[in-house]
Amino acid sequence: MSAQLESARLDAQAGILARFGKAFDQAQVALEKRVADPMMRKMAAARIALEQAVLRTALEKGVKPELVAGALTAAKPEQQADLVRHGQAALARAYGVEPEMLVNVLAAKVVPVEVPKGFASNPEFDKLIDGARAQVTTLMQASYMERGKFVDLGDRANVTELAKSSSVQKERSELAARVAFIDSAIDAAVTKGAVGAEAAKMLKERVEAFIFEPRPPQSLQYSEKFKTFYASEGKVLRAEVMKEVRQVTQSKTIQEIGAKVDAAMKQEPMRRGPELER
Amino acid sequence: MEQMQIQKFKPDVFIEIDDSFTGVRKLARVIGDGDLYLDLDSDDATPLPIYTALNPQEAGNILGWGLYLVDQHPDEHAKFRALVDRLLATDMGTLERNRAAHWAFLNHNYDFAAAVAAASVQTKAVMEGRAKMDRLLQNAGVAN
Repeated sequence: MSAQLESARLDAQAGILARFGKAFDQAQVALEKRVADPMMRKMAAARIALEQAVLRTALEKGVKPELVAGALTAAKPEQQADLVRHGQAALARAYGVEPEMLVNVLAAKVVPVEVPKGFASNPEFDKLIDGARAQVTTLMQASYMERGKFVDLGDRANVTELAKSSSVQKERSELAARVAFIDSAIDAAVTKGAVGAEAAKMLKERVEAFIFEPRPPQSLQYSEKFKTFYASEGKVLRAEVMKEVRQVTQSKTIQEIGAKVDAAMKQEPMRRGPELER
Repeated sequence: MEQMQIQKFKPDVFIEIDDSFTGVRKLARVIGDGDLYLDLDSDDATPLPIYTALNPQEAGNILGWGLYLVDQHPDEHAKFRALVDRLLATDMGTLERNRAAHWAFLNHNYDFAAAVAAASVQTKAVMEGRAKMDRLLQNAGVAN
């Protein structure tokens, strides 16, 4: 299981995203003549796409389709609209950051994740954390290099521009998505009764610290310049990513829809798909 | 007797520590209250005390190593990141993966095969040390 979790997460994420994009386009076309208001058409297409994407992915994972479909359609239209709003900015940019986070939140409910208990750990979480750590180093590399280039000129605006560059933005989105997946998996474990609420809170704090608080080798030291840089830019990155993650995972609507998916999963324990049996 | 002192670290950090039965320097993970470590990925690995005599030192982690490269060897960071991504795509356990990344970091060699081989050598040495320990206990009639 441990070796397969990362691929299962990415598989679920890719499945939902790919289908969401395709289904969204198809729904837009299908609704062209039926819905006059372009904004309403966009919203309706997004609802249809999201439902279809999550449903198909859940099917692929072996959950009875009617249970997940039921969970989704049981959500009120305004909840669905709220859900879609979380991905609205990204919808405009052809499904960027936020839908990725969103699907990771949902993927954590269809991919079985064993959450560490107490102060223990497990290979699944270790792998997710190591992946996130690597992403933080890449983001800091990009930022630090650019800082070295521009700081002497006193041109902080260029650093901001860099943060918006596509590769950096992609890395940042993937980091947020990964953290959202972890957060959501912990929430799912609480719902299933596998972890208590207080333990889950502590676990989330530990995971956040693992990802963002560097532990250099005892025998080596960072330069003072780098320490100052990370104390500032690392803190900003952490705050922004965690804010983004919590906005999605703590959204009332997403929690309610997630609870419905959890309830469906409880009624019909997931049969592992072939990709998890390998 | 001072050498038998126990050294404490922050739980979950990686340390480098001498293996008492083989002398090999190994990467291990601190557990519990910070005074025990695990040196194998298996579920039945035995937690061992962190004796000062075994020269324990905090070893860092993928975040710490990556940031050190950003600071001191920025041209190496991309290779390190590529290696970590390849390691994450394998079935390696947490310790084994981090042994490979740590070896690469220390040796400035980010070749996947070389890093995996180095990690494997270290893990095998730990297992041999553990087997020696078990044989000794068995011969002494302490363990079956």
